Formats: sequence, structure tokens, C-alpha cells
Amino acid sequence: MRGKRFNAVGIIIFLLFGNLFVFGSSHTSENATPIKIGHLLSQTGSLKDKGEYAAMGARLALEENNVLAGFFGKKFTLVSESFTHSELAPQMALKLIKENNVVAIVGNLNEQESRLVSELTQMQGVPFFNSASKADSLRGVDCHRYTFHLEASAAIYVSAIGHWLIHKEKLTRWYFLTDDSPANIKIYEQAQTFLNKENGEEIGHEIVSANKSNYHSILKKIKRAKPDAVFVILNSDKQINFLKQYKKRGLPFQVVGAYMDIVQLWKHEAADLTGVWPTIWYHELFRYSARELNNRFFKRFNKPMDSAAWANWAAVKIIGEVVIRSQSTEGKKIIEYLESNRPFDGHKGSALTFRNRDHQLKQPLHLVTPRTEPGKREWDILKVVTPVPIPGLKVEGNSLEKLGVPHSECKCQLEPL
Amino acid sequence: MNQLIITLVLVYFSLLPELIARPLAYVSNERSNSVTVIDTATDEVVDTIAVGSRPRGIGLSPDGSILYLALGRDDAIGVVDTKSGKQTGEISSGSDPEAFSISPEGHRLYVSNEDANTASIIDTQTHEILAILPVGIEPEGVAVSPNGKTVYVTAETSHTVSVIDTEALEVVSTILVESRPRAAAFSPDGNRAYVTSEIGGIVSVIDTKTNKVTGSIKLEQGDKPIKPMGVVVSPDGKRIYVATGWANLVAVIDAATNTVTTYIPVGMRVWGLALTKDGKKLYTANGVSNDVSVIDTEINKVVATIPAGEGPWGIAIEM
Repeated sequence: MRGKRFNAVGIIIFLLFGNLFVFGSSHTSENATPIKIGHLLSQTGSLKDKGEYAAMGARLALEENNVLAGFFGKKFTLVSESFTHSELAPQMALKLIKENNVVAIVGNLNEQESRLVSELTQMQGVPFFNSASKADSLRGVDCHRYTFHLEASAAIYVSAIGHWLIHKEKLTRWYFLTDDSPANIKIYEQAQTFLNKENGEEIGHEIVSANKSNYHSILKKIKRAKPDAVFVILNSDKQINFLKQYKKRGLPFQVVGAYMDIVQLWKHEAADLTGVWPTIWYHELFRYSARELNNRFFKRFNKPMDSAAWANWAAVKIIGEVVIRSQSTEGKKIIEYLESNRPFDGHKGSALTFRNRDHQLKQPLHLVTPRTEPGKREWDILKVVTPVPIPGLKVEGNSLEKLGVPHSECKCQLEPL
Repeated sequence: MNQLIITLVLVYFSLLPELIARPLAYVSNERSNSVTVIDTATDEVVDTIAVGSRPRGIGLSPDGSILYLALGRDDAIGVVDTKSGKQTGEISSGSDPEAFSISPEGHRLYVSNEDANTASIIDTQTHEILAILPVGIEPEGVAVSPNGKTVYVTAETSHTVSVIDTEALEVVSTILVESRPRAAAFSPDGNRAYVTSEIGGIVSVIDTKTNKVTGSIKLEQGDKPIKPMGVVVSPDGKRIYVATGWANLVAVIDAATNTVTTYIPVGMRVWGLALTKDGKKLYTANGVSNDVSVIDTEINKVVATIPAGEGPWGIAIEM
């Protein structure tokens, strides 16, 4: 009887408090001097909306790091700074380094902010992990030895969707729609270069103002041009607006985007949308161990894990693991460890490492598209089209090593350590 | 006369389980909710037992009379009476149990609880939970040392092995291994343990006296990624056999040199492994080809392929 009582009570207690117990004081080393990780959260532009998910991802990783650290008498803390003006980014980074003695900085920053922080951290000898900027220049002419990239580059996103369009769907005549922002113009140039290399044809290109909201005249032009595919390079809110108008108009051409903030899609009905987009994470990935990570995140925050959450989770998780495994908080030792290509488990079914030539994380992506049938939850409005690299597709560039800018065209020259 | 025939028929059927040649191998089929029973003398299927939902981890009591199964969707350990071939009960285990191990004398079950980040210690007689111990994140593989004094529990997300003292009922040490440790196995003398790390692509060798990693064995074949999963050690301790999931191979490791001596092609998505008591035959659960490969360990070749249920996951063989 006593045993049965313990059985029932024990299970109830652990169901109620199991995670608290495990993530709480039992495992963290309360008396240890905290090892600090800096987290910069830009509140500029579209990053303002992503900040919440970036912060949640980092927090989950911190808690997981502290389970591991607790076993070895160590403890991590996260020191977060947010700002609304890009020029403040390096000041905040310097504050984290000088006042807080952080061992590394994770930056959910735009291209300009990332560039400034990358330059600063290089000079300070502190590792910097870019979790938001897609700019290829950060992996090219502006690359730095102390900077690593969790977010995929624009060229990676373009080649992910481009290989699918050309080699799987055989859609080679593209019509581009971009806005006039420098970041999206660069992505357009990447896509144009990709299309030329693949012997495709650009049959139209429309550049619109970044605040355009009515696409009536453009839809007429697309209809007349009869492309195989419409390649949309607009910020996510504008892209969704365009897609709704496109869907309503009933045009038959395949629509794709270079990127999409999936959190913004959750506010809309799948039936109103059309398109295929690459993403580095999706909350309905249940293959490999993605299910476990998605479950842990949802259980912790009652929200699904998006790409920003994943990139920031991965960055903080990597820093924690490297510090524990290398038994060092020295920047140089962290860089050496990361360049040694010891694999990291990002719950993507593959061993993840950084590409030595430009410090880009080599990681699988997924192409997603709106569901035709309703999902279980309000967030379940997409389904996976294919993983990338695309299984069974034997073309140059369809591999983790070669996705994005080819080695021969990489302009990154990393400084000596 | 009729009475005599009826009596003989009854006697025949009551003795039927005993007439089946032994030892038997039991294979859990996670998608068809069944256990395939194989006569290892003939390598033929002799029975299929219906069990609870999503059976994966599998183990036999030392006398072979009770088969335990981790029933992931029932949140329980299923209890099967091997004589009658029926599931006779369940033990509450916490959510989604995947793997467990049985103490050498059969009195205890050590269960990893993936969602709760704990390991449960259960008395097999009373079904009482003797202890629930916090371990690493996403615990999975469980191995009991040959003398029963130590249990290793792997944790996939914290990349750790928690060392449990089974007398004190507490975690006495935590070992950091390579990325995503899945399974563990002790050498017969208990001096070494082998831990497979899926993402690391490594089998870590642990000195069980110091609980320190003393060796790392890299699994690779050209540019083909190899992810070590299930692991067993031969009865003489000279060889370690490692399942490699989607690589569809079993790696054979020389324990003296800690090197891979050969890779044996088997069925698709090989996961669970089990050796016969004499170590002459190795059985592999092939989760996608829905079969079991039988390897002759003297020649390191598959000598039979036996159809199983859907999604074979683990194997236990009578000793």
C-alpha cells in the first residue's frame, strides 16, 4: 500500500514540478561565478517583432546550458541589451564586453548593426554569433575571424528555393518582384546571378517602393508576362499583402519567396496565402530530434519555436557547450574549438559545424508552403515541401558544404588568430 | 476413448510453449504494436504477441518468464507472460518511456523518462517506484553493470551520462560524452562501458572505476555519415557491435584496439541489437525494412533475414 501511494504521489509531484526541479537549483551551481553571455536585441524595423522569439530561444538554451554546467560546478547567465537606433549597437556590445565581461555575444541584429558589432568584437577578441542578418557581405568582404553565422545567408536561401524551382519543378522563367530597400536589392542580385548560372531566364523585374500596398498594376503585368514562377523579395508584411492579392486574383504561376517571417503568417489564414519559402526551422518538424526541441520550447513558452528562436537558441547553446567542453572562456580558445569542426546537435538530424572559409553554419533548411487542409492549432498553417539539400538531387551546390556562394567566389579572408 | 483424446490434446497444448525450441528472441515492433517471437535455433518466427501502444525498449527477466516493454503511447512498461504469450499488466512509468534496463537478479527496472528528465527505479515485484532521480536532458539509453551496482543513463540533449549508485539510489557522477548519446553497454567484467553518440559519430569508451572517458572510436565510411545507435558487447568482451541507423550497417569494433574492424550491411534503419548467450549470433532490428538480420559473428555475415512486424525497434534474447 505504501508503495502504491508513493507511486501515485511521486508521479504527480514529478509531473507538476519535474521540469522546475531539473532546471532549477538542483542542477545549477549557485555558488559558482556566473559565466556571462551577451545578447543584443535590435528593436529596429522587423527585428522588433522577432525580438520576443529570439529572447525565448536564448532563454531556453540558457536553462539547458545550466543543466550541463551544474554537473561541472559552473553556471551561465544571459545579459541582454536592446536598443532602437542601429548606431547604438557597438556601444551596447562594448558595454557587454567591458562592464559585464561577457565571454561571447549573440546578436539578433540587422546587417548594419551586425557589421559594426562584428568589427568591434574582432578588435576586442570576443566571439560574436550573428543570429539574424542574412547579408552575404558579412560572410564575404566584411567577414571576421571572431564572427560566426547561425542565420543562413541570402545566397543560401536563394539557392535553396532556386534548386527546387529549376531542378525539381523545372520552372526556369522567373519574374522578380522586389522593393527598393538595399537588403532586398542584394537578394535580388543573388537570385539573378543564380538564375543566370542555371541557364534560366529573367522575363520580368518590378521594383516597388518599400511601402507600396496595392499591387493591382503589377499583377496585370505578371499575368501578361506568363512566367513559370514569380520570385517575391519583399519584407514579410508586404509579401503577405502581395500574396493575398495574388491569391485573390487567381493567377496560376508558382510563387516563391527568398524568406518569410513565419510568425507573421500566423496572423493569417492559409487559404488566403500561396507560395513556397525556405526556412531554417519550423515548429512542425517532427523528424529526427526536432520533435523533442519543438516540444520543449512549446512546453516552456506555450508558443511554437520559429527560426529566430532556433537561431538564438542554437547560438547560446553552442557557446555554453564550447565553454564546458573546452574548459575555457578565452575568446581564442572558443574560436579554435569552433574551427575544429566538432559537431553540434541542432536537432536537425545532422551534425552541424561551421564552414571554415566563412564561418557560416552548415545546416539543413526546409521549404514550406500553406496547408490545403486545416492544421490542429492556430499556428499549424504550413506544411513541409522538402528538406534542403533536396534528397536525391545530384546537382552542384545541393549540399551543406556548397549551399550559397561557391567557394571560388567567396571573398572572405579571415584574419589570423 | 474420446476422453483420452481430449486429455492428450489438452496435455499437448499445455506443454506446447515448452516444446518450442529455445532460446527465443523477442522483437518489439513499434508501429504494429506487437512482439515477434523468433526461435534462434531455426531462425523462424514462432509467435506474434499483441501488446500495448508503440513498444520500443524491451527486456527479459533473468529466468525468461517475463518480458518487459516500454509502451510509449501508453506511458507504461508492459508486462508480458512469456509462457502464455499474453500481456498481463502494465507498470506506470511516466510519459513516453523509450528505454529501460533490468537488474541482473530481475528485481528492479531502471527507466529513462524523456519528457521529465528523470530516471525511475521500479521494484518489479511490487511495482513500487523506489526513486525518481533527475538526470540530464532527454534521457534515453539505460545500462546496468554486470554486478548490478551501477546504472548508466544517457541524456541526448545535455550530452551526458548520469552514473547511478543502485544501493544509495542517487546519481554519483555525470560524464560528458560526445553529441547526442543514445545507448550504453558494459563489458562483461564491468570495467568498461561503451556509449554511442549519434551526432558526434563516436563510441566513447569509459573506465567505470573512474567514470572517465578513456577512448573515442570514430565511425565513418568514406564521406557517408555514420550515426552510432544501439550497442552490445560480446560475452568474451572482445568485440563491440554498434547499430548505425540509416547507414544500414553494423560496426564491429575490436575492444583491444578500439578500432572498427568491419562494417556488416544489414536491413534498413538498424536500431536494436542482441547477442545469443554464446555470442555466436547477433540479431538486428531493422525498423524500415521490417525485418531482423541474423549475423554469424564468426564470419561477420548475415546468414538469415527474418520478417518481423512493422517498425522493429529492440530485441531481447533468452539467456
